[in-house]
Amino acid sequence: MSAAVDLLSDPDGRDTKLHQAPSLLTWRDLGIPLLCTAVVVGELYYLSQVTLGASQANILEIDNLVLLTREHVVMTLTITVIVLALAVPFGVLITRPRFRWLASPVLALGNIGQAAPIVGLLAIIGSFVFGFWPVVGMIAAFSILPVLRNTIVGIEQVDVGVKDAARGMGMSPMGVLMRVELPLAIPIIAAGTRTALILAVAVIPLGTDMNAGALGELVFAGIKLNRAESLVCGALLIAVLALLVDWASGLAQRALTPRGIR
Amino acid sequence: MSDPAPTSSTTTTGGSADNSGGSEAGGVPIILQGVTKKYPGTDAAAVDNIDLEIGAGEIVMLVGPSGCGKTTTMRMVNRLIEPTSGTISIDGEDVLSLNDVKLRRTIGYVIQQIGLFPHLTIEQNVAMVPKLLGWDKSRISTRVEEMLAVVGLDPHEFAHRFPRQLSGGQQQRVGVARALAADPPIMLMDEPFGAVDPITRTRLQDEFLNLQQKLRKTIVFVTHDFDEAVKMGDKIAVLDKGSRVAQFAAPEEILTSPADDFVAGFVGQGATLKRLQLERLDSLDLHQSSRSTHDGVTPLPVRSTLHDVLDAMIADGRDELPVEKDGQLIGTVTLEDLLDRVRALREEADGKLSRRGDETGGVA
Repeated sequence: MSAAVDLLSDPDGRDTKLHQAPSLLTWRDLGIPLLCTAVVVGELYYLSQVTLGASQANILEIDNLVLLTREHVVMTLTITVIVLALAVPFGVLITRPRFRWLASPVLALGNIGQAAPIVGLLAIIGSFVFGFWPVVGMIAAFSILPVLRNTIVGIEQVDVGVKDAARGMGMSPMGVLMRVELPLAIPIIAAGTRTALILAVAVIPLGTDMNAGALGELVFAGIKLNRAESLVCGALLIAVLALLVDWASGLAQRALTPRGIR
Repeated sequence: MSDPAPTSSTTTTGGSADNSGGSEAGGVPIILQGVTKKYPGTDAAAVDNIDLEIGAGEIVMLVGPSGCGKTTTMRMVNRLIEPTSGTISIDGEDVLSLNDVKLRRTIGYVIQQIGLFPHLTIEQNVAMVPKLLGWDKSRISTRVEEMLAVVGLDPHEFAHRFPRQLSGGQQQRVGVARALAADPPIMLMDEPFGAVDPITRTRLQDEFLNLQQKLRKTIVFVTHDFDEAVKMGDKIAVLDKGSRVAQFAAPEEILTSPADDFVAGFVGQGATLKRLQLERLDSLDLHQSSRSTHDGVTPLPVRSTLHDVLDAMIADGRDELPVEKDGQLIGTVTLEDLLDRVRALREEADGKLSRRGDETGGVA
């Protein structure tokens, strides 16, 4: 008889032992920074050993490398802030009942936009304007799409039962959004942001022609001077930066994801 | 802080209206009058002019085939769906005049998908409505512990787990605890035990009935499972398309005298056997027997349903079984007693609805 069955242990008990909460940082997470450090140290050592022409020596000066890297990082961060500040609120708005009909057209438009070659766009824009903001604006406009799409998808994939329960127990629409929908959409929004960030790091060098500085200068100088050292150094630093940004945003994604769904 | 359940202040039956000291608020009546829901662009109303009076502290089962509008009817009570016309009143107060969000905080809500917040701990899940109502922290945490214990989950073991670490049955216990947390006078339950395995379902049903005996909430319970309706309901509303109330009566009455062919069809085969599930041994006069021929037979507890008794007789191949109460043999029951009882029930039903009597026999 069922009365004899222990009330506390359901027969379909899936996991009655406490989960070991996954720790935020593991030894494996140190691999990428270690690799990147090794690459940078190796490259700097190499540069200190070879004799460089006057033109290259200037540009490969350590102070200049730091400056260009910093420019690259600042541009990346600026783009990230712009993208998040625009894409997340807009994505949220589009998932509200009143604007839901906009979701499909916006996503379709977004996909078309993403298919357009950014190099071409930069070249076109570059023939009219120069400098930091046009490049940042251009790349931000381009990077908004993955974040926007993931915000919409992230909010829409939240289980209908969970949303129904939230409404049914008396959460306001804003409460459902802030307490339920957004927290549960974070992993997906963060994944989109990660894609956008790496895209930005990789595309920023193409803005060098528009006088926006950053690590692209090394690459383009190398091409113009027909010198491998500068080109390789620029390419390596960009790659290292992209890896580190991916690594850091991966950690951030994990840290921001609520523990219960991690 | 504010009263967690404003509508409970004028409780009409059951528990006391004072819910600050841990005593539970009993239920309040719900009255639906001419309630209609029509979606734009459709000819037929999803819910067509339903009248339903649900007494305080009753479990009313809304049962009917898929698409009959039973869930829509239930969801109009807490205004997750707005009625097109008609009035719904809870404890005499017109719900359409209230703020819908605040209204829902005074009505427990349990659904088949459970809908626990996966990113929050069990404790945080159960604490949600009290938190929305602005209870202070210590009151919330006392209440959460109490509620988890009430649904049979050890607070120390479960409070800090996440929903995915629980089985389906445990999750729905949390779902019930969460709905009861702010001590609402009314609970809406949409197939709450529909997604768990049959053994767990039976246990959850039994425990919930026990709980309800203490709480006396007013419960609107939607199911498509007629057996569940018979088991859980004080009253059953059998609904046809458009939420037409084909019959609204106690389970015994629906089983013995279905109002029409639709209800009879829904009751289905074996109405008499189902009827036996509603009768318990303690409703019979037992035979005093001093015979010791029952040595090898496990006595039946006096709380057994007549259905269980019949099952045991068939299983053991005997027409007489001993009955025990608190471990003491108190008599025996025979197959003849069961048949007499069935005959009596049918005569009772014939008396009530003489024209339907023969049909009931036919259905049975």
